[in-house]
Amino acid sequence: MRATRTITALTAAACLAVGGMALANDELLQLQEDPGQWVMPNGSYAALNYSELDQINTENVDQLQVAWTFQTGVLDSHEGAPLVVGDTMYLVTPKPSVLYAIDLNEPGVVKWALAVDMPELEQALAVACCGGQTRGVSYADGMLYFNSLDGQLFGVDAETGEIVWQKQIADLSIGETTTLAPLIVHDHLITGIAGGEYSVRGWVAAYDLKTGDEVWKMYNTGPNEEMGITDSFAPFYEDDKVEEPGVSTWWRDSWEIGGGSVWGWFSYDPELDWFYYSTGNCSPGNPDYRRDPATAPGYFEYPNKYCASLLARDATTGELMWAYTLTPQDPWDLDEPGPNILVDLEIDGETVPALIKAARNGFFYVFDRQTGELLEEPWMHSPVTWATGFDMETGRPIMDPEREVYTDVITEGLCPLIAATNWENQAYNPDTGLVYFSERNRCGDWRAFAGEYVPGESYRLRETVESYLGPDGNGDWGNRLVGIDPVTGEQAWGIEAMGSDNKPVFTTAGNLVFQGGQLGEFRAIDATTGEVLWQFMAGADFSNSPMTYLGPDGKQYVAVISSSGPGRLGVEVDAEPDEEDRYRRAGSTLYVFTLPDDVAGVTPDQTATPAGAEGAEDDGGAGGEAEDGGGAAGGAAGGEAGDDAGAAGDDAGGAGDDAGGGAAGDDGGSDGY
Amino acid sequence: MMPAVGPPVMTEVATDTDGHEASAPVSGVLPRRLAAKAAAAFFVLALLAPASSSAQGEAGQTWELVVCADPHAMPLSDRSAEGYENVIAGILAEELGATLSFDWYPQMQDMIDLRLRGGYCDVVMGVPDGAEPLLTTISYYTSPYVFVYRADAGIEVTSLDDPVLSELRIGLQNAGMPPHDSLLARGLADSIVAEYGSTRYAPRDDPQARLVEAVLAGEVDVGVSWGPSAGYYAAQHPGELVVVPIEPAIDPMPPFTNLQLPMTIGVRQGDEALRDSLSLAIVRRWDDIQAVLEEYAVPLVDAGPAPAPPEQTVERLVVGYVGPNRTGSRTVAGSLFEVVGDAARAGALLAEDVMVSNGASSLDVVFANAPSAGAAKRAAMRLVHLDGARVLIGGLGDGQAAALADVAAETGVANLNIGDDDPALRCTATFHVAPSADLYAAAIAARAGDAGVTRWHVVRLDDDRWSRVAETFGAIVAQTGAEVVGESVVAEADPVYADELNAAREEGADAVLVLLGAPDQIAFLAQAAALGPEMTIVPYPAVATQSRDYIAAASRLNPSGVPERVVMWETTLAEGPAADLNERFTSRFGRPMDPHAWAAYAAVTLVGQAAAETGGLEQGALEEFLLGGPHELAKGRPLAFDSDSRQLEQPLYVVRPVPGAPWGRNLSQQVGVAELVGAVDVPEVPGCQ
Repeated sequence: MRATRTITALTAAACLAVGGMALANDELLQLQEDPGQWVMPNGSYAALNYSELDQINTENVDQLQVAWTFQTGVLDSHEGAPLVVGDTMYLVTPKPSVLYAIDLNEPGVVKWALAVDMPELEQALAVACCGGQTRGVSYADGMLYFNSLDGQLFGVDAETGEIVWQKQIADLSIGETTTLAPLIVHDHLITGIAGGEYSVRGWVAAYDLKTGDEVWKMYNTGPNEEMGITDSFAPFYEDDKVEEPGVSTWWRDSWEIGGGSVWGWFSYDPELDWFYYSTGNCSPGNPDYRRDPATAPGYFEYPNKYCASLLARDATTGELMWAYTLTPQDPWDLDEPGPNILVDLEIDGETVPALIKAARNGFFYVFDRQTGELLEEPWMHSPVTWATGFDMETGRPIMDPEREVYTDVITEGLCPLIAATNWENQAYNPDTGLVYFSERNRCGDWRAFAGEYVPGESYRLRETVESYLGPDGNGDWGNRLVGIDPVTGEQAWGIEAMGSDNKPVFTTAGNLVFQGGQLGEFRAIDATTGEVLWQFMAGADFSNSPMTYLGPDGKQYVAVISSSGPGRLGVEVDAEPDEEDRYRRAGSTLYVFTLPDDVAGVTPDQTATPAGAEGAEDDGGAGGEAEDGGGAAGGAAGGEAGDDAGAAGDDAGGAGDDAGGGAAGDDGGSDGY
Repeated sequence: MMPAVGPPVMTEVATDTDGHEASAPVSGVLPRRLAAKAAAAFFVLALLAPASSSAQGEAGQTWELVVCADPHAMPLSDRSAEGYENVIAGILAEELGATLSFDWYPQMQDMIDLRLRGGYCDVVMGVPDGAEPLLTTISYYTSPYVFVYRADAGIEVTSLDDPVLSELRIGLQNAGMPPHDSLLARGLADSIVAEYGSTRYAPRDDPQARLVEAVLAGEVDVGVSWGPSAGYYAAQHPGELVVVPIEPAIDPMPPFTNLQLPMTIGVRQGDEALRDSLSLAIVRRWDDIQAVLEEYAVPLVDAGPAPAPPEQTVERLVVGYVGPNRTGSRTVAGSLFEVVGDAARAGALLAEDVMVSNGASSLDVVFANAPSAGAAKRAAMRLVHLDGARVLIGGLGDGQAAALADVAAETGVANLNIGDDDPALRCTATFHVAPSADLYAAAIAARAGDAGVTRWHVVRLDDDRWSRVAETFGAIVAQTGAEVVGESVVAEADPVYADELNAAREEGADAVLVLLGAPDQIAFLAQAAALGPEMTIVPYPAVATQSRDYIAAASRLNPSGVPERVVMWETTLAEGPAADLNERFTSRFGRPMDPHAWAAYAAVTLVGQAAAETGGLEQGALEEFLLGGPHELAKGRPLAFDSDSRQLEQPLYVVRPVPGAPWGRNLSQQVGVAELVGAVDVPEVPGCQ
């Protein structure tokens, strides 16, 4: 890949030059085709989390070096990957949600920083399940869009960092929070809410890009008109061709607080103009509140549509096109926030428009994304005990009666426990034809109990009684990174580890898979063989997806943020006896890697902006006086950022006192070593 | 204006943003509702019932008791310190001559894992007898689980086996509480209609009032609750509610739950002295504690007569040991020094036992578990004032040696440092069993000199302490004919060390000294290995790096191998007294004798020998003994303290990780991850300027 930034930048500029005429969608459709940029979460509407860049490849990846770093000063798990649009990188931190624009011409220098005001942060943290998360920022037409945890949605001028509009879209008082990165289609963005622990009623909504005005809002449960079910609704299976599925598949009015939140990834098919997402757990966790006790479990009488389900909606109108329930009645807290990857597969000699999903419930699904038909019998990608297989006539899983859940009865031997995969990015590489994801081997015993619903209070009504590795507790791996052929189900390779954290996965045309490992190392893996070709020891955890882009100098860069959660450097109960996490480092650092110029095949003459490269080298020349270099970079950024950056400095987490320590660029330029 | 970038946030900040509410000292403040009554009582009792004699020592000398307490858990605990556990903590602190502070945090697992284990507090009130992973005192009350129902409900339920329960709507205070199991065992699942558990997510001011409110409102017919909360809130509606203990007290049906819980105070494992002091204080103030419980209408199970204080024990020669030890199985932030701390504690125990079994002294080593410098200071003050310690031994973990030295100076006792190498601590009253940075530097310089290293680059953390260590190293290598040609100063958790390694290369350095803490060394070694082998990388023996656990972790995280290290002691020394000591230690504890085990062993042994020789632990005589010597401490030759610096001069050792050695729980596996290369004896240490 030798695409240069100059050309793509012109394309983008031409697109913008048409003025307001071009839809943001059109611009994004073009931008996502440019491998030099990384303009949306997972890299493309198809959610492949794949880049066509191959300057860094299996031949030279062992020479990868750190180009520059940037410390965000936030001690929480970063779960959103940066974007690169034009010559700017954008990233948003976990609470207190600071949005940064970083100049790629002078690596690490902050163009502007925006610390948004989060007056309800404390309440948001109180109701958020898993830390101060955000899963990233989205871009369209010179604007950035993101949700802060406390239910605010922001439209920000990408050039200046000024807030153009903002609005409160989630209701914290009933436990709604916002953690995902919006999807941008046409002239609106689509987002949703988390809050399955609070029995929210899940929804997705579209907001106008220019004004933030709500365009439509569709619930995942309830009456047809509130779910966007019209004559267009054409599910494949009989189970979904029922009157008011969002009501009739629920006991009494339990759909009103039935869960089905939306906190993971979206994907979008421009030809169909449909978008896809899958929903959070059914709520409360105790299914006795969602089914007729007389016929319990009644999985298919009360499947509770559409929580723990896959939905396809019209991206313009929000109408539901088809839907499929992944885990009927979901008695096991099997949210499905993970990506739904859109890829055309060759099955039995025919090319079919597929949607593939390594689901949290342990099954791997291949759908026809036009119809919702299962193209293959779903197979277990990790241990599953709640179902034994599938009835392909009805599309129903064959449920295992041993795993039924009743109030105050302990269900033993449940696999997966909570999650096989989870929200972590998966990746599909068209060159290898393999899908890559990280999965757990966690099983356990489970109990549901009774409770009273109070808005805004935790309403899970289930607990893990015991947790162990593998169905019999004798599992010899906790986590496995796999490369799997989605058509045959054949595992090309796997890397097993004892820790059971899933980690986001990313792949490139360099025949590489990038992923943070369990020991604090960031690694590049041969996408075909699974061989680890290179690794860099950061000494901290990785909870966000790597990404890649072409710098202004024509070189390919790979970026990832290492971060560890607050307070605890957790060690798994079954970690090795030396508990190596004891020596894990704290902090959040964006690492940007690249090849030496000669290996990359780039000389300074070829670079689009030599000034930037020189600047970077100057920073590197500071050598041992890294703190000074960083401080200078930070100061320059502050000057440009004006009042907003000043506010950021005050708010960004008590870290601002040490002027030099956290600033960017303290580790040299593009050829720093 | 600076942009919103900052340094990597350190752990303390993180825990503070993770729900912790800042500690507010409330020393001497009693809840208003009890103030009048209690004030009078305390005044009288303080005169009548003096605690230990040492606690009543010179005016103004006292120690600080920090209690982890829930800010929203009436009637047990509340930010206004009006919960009965807050009040009882006040009584005990007063009895023990301590000032009292609270560290506010919700009473859940994180209170133990983050606050107690982090050293922010020392005590958790109101934990069931034997609660893991704590050490618990004697019980100061036993309360039952209770039924609570309206007085006008027309029912009379005391037994789990009352058939009427199947016809009633039962509300639980919390799902999963012990009586929940008993109800399930009786097939009453369908009768349980609600649980009113307070959640960590949306605490109201009085979350535990909800069940009683629901009973009053008729939402449920009968509530099942932990006694203290039901008793307290029911008492606010006199005559309206019935609160009765659930029978039988021990459920004869599986899972045989105990429906009456004896409640105790929890301290960190290893804090035996504090536990014992609190138990004694409970005994001495039994009646006052019971009065508080009565005031709060806590349903009590008659626990028999009040416990009697023990007979006065014989006079002991008390040595206070302060160090970080493990509490619980999970690794959490702040646990970095627990492995070396546990080794040191074991070394001290071994030395004490050897002396007692030899009949050599009446030495009594009293232990305290201090995860932080602040906790170490509190523990040292407590050991001196409350337990009568005449010598303090410790100094593992950041700032602990300095904290102990401060307390020793303030209270006029001797102290021995077993972990800290900071040159700034030398040439004071403290005796140093732990090698100084000078000693380590000299050993490293000698070892590297043999290998032909003449040009050093030093990478060090950006603070005064590491600056002093680096300066010392520079002076030492200059004496050996080598030189430090460059120095890089880095922040803690610096993401990348490429610039530093490049600088070293450009300077033509043949070796890089890594003056970083344990976590950073792992990242540094891996990043250096990735850049190629041309320079020798010499990791400095920072405290937490001197264990087999660390060597195993560093080796595993650096598959290309890690370099040899200088250490203070080696568990595979196989000749003479060293072999005997290693054999004794490993066979008793089943783990390697990590270097700090030797340091603690040596310190306690020295004090014990002094006590035997001088007949006491008078500071002057002790110092004279220590400065006399020479001392036999199993290091192959007699050792002596330098009279100026009070540094114990001693040989050091070099160990080399064994590539590919499997790590496991067995002693042989743990010993086997490294092997002895040899000893480095540097007899001369610079004195004091």
